[in-house]
Amino acid sequence: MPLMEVDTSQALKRENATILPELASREDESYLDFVESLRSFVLDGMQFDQQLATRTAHLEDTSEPPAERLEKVREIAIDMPIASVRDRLMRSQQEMKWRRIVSSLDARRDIHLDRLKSAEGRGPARLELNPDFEAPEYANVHFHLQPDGYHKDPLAGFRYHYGTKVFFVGDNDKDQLHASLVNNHLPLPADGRVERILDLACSVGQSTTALKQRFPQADVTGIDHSEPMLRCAHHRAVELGIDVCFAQRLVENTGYDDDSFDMVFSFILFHEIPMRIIRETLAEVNRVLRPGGMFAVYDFMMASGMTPAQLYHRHFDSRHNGEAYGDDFCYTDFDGLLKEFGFVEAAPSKHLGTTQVWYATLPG
Amino acid sequence: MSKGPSGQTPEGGAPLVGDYPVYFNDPVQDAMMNMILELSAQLWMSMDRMYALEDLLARQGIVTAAALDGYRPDAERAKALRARRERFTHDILRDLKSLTEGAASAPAGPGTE
Ligand SMILES: C[S@@+](CC[C@H](N)C(=O)[O-])C[C@H]1O[C@@H](n2cnc3c(N)ncnc32)[C@H](O)[C@@H]1O
Repeated sequence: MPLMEVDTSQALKRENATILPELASREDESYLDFVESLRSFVLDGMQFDQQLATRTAHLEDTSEPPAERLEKVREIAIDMPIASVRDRLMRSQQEMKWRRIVSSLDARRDIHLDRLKSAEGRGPARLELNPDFEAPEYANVHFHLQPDGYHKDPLAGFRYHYGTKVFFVGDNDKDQLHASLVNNHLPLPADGRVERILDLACSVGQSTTALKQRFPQADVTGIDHSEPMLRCAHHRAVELGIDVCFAQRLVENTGYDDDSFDMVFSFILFHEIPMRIIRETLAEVNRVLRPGGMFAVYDFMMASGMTPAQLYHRHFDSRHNGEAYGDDFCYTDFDGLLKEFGFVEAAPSKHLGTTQVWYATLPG
Repeated sequence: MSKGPSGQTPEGGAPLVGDYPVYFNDPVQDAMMNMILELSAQLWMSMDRMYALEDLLARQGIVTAAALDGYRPDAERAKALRARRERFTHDILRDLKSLTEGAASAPAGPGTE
């Protein structure tokens, strides 16, 4: 199943040309096209989910605790040879993808570094790096097996961007997904006022620029802890001529003033931070979001709502695909957490493909 | 189905598997599967390139099928081809090497540092 099932037709019309990192050769592109097809076969073509579903129909009932359902699903999968094949292929396509992306970008490393350097100081986008910044210990994980993780290699942003291109199996080649979330799935604060927007953990800034395109009058800032991500995001926004700001800050300690944003946006951040940081981040968003502001969270769906096959994939993803904190998030009650940190529901939470969205606000 | 995890994450996250996780009963089967995948990728690369090449050549009326069959590389080209062939071979057979590396080093969890 695709990560998200969203209508991207509108988004495409907006011609959100992205700036995909250039690979060294057409051969590298062909290789990665193959990996993309392999991935799509694993996700869809081999019909593993359907086969698992027929054997686990009795575990569809979501009233049983998800951890207990997962154990039963795993016991069933152990006897299915196709499960081993599926796991092997899933792991292998990731390894193949990263190997080729890293070697292809490294083949022209100096050119890519020059590119980032030459974007420095150019507008309209701004870049605010913090020379004293130290990445937190919990960030030392190679999420999705990305070599050197998100912040240890200067080309991490380019690696990530091409990696997600393959991950979304063609559905985000022109940032359609990001544009669609922002254009079709993002409600306004009740009073309609949107002057300052914060994009939490913006990576290469695909949602940051989409937010600016939807709200041209607003000040839009994307924050991330990773300098390579932010440099790549800044370079991309400069190329696109979009006036946004990228700042090196922690989501749990942004340093912004109280009540300073009308909207806080977060796309697939919360499943990549440990529970302690999830809680600190919610407290921080409560502090910087103004009363009546909109907090939009797009992330993995809660385990309690997952099908047996989804529980199986989540377990695999957490252990075999570097999603170390994925279970912290999925096995909690995020609605309860939002409430605990003072948020109230602005629109009902819903599933989008295998993701879930939450819209919350702060009482005025 | 996949074997259990082996590495720890910095802050109580899920334990991650090591660098060479084994999904079949015998690690050689895992290596075989990877070789097949790598072969398929390399084959697709060549097919893709050949389609492009043949199309361009035909469109420009430059090369016939007979000329292609009669082609022999000169010394310099042959040397370059050899280097490419060695990379090709290494890429496909890489996993056989990881079998020994995997056995020698206890997996510490590639997902962490
Ligand atoms: C999966 S990506 C988020 C995807 C991104 N929103 C997008 O649209 O592509 C996770 C990002 O979170 C960042 N990150 C993780 N923990 C963070 C923290 N505590 N503060 C700031 N950024 C963080 C990482 O550097 C990485 O870029």
